[in-house]
Amino acid sequence: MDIVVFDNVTKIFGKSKVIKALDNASFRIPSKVVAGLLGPNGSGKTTSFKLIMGFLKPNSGKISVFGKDPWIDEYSVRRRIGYLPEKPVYPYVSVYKFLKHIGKMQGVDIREVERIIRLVGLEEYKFFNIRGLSRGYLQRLGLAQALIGDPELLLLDEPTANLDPLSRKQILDLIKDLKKELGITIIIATHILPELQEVADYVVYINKGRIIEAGKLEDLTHKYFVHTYYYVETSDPRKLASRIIMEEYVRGIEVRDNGLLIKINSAYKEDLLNILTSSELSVYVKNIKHVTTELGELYEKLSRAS
Amino acid sequence: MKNYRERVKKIMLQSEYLLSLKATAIYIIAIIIGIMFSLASIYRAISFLAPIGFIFGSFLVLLLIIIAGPMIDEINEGHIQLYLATGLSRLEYVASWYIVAVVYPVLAIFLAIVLPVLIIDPSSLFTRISPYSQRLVPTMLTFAFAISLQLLNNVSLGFLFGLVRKSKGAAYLVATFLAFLLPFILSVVISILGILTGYYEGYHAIYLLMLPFDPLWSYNVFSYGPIYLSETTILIPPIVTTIFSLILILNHAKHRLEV
Repeated sequence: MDIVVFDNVTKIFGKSKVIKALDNASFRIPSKVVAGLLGPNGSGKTTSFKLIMGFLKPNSGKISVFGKDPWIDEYSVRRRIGYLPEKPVYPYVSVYKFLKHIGKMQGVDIREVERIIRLVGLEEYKFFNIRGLSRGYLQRLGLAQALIGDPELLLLDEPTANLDPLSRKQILDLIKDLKKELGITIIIATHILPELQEVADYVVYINKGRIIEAGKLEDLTHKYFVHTYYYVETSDPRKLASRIIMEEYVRGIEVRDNGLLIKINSAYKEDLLNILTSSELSVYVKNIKHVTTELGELYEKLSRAS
Repeated sequence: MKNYRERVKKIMLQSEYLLSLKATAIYIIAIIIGIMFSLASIYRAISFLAPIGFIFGSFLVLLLIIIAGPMIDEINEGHIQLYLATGLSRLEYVASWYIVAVVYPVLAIFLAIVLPVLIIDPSSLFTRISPYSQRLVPTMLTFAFAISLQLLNNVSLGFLFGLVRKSKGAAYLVATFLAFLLPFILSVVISILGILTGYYEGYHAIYLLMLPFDPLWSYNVFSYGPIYLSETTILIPPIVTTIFSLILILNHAKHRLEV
């Protein structure tokens, strides 16, 4: 089932100087995926988020979120979404007071609010004024307010922007945990592609308000011959690695836990699968799965295509 | 019905939260001014109070529209997105601000005018306390209603313009115009016409323009002179314009407010 559907959506800002933020944009986001909304600055990512939230009304076209129009059925749509804006502006109150209010509005028990405060690691700062929080903790607060009320869809607009590497990693780990534990649909708009590629399995690329590509990361990887990573679970990682490295299309191998992380150009996917399932190696191979793709490379190719 | 109750509950929750954040100090000032009105009206006649009422009433309009100012900031700066993301609708958000900036303070001022009379000297309600006054109860109630309607109407109009233009300046401008400039401009216009033609009473009807915006002023102008209007008649125009403004505010919030 598709959670978000944009059907020829156009959004125009301004009267004298017209800016087309979205131009006949059509895409779909299926449920239970982590989707990356990619594109350069000013491409229409934040506008798309605001349209999904029902903050803006499209000039033409149709938007459906959970099967409803978010501008009209704003209440029933938004209560199922957690939203972290790109530049959230918070009131000057304590973390606890703010989150308690959000919880009350969502009809959520105070114990649930406390649980989320622990989940995002804000326990120590609970009674601090929001004004005094560092950027990393402000992002955690943003995630906390987005998570209150058990959302089915999480919209994260640049969740790791302007963060130091450690905070960035912590936020990313948190998103990974959310994907793993809650199994909710997450849409992330970001520029930090190496990080996104660790979690995303669906991509929408947008440029100047036009949707250039939308689809499963694996499908786009094959379409644009992008370098990609496969994880092969094996009973003998070293032996398998010494054999696979002989193949000239293999760009890298890393032994990780009980398996191998193999980097190849997606054009050679069949060759890799053939060799892994051959009688010589199949005895060592327990499982093969696509892990991720070089999103930077995909981004570059999509940018050129647009 | 359940959905309706849930919505009202959310509006009240949000209002309570906004009140705790934004407006406590201004509320205290408004209530003090209300009590001053009340005390003044216990010991003075309404006719004596009218000029003071005009000045204080005008300042109260500005005070209340200042309470509504942060709503425009929230819309422009993006706080609103966090609140709407909790499932609050645009209409509920604006309604909660309207309650905080208009309904609660007007109610507080109304009660601040009426209640001290009962507390300080209930017997004064039924006796003539100055050669100028009538009995205090009807005078006090008329005065309290008039100033409350004046505030409701003028602040609602300021609120409406501020919301539509997404500009605090527009809200303050409209409120200032209605509270201070309009009476002044009309008086000047009538004076000039009177001087030019030597016929003042003929232009008295121009003051009818003030009816929706300043019932206190209207009491002064239309309780004697060439045009006489009853107290009830004077109260109707501000009620109508307030309801009309409120409908426009809620309609704009529901159908046109983009954030």
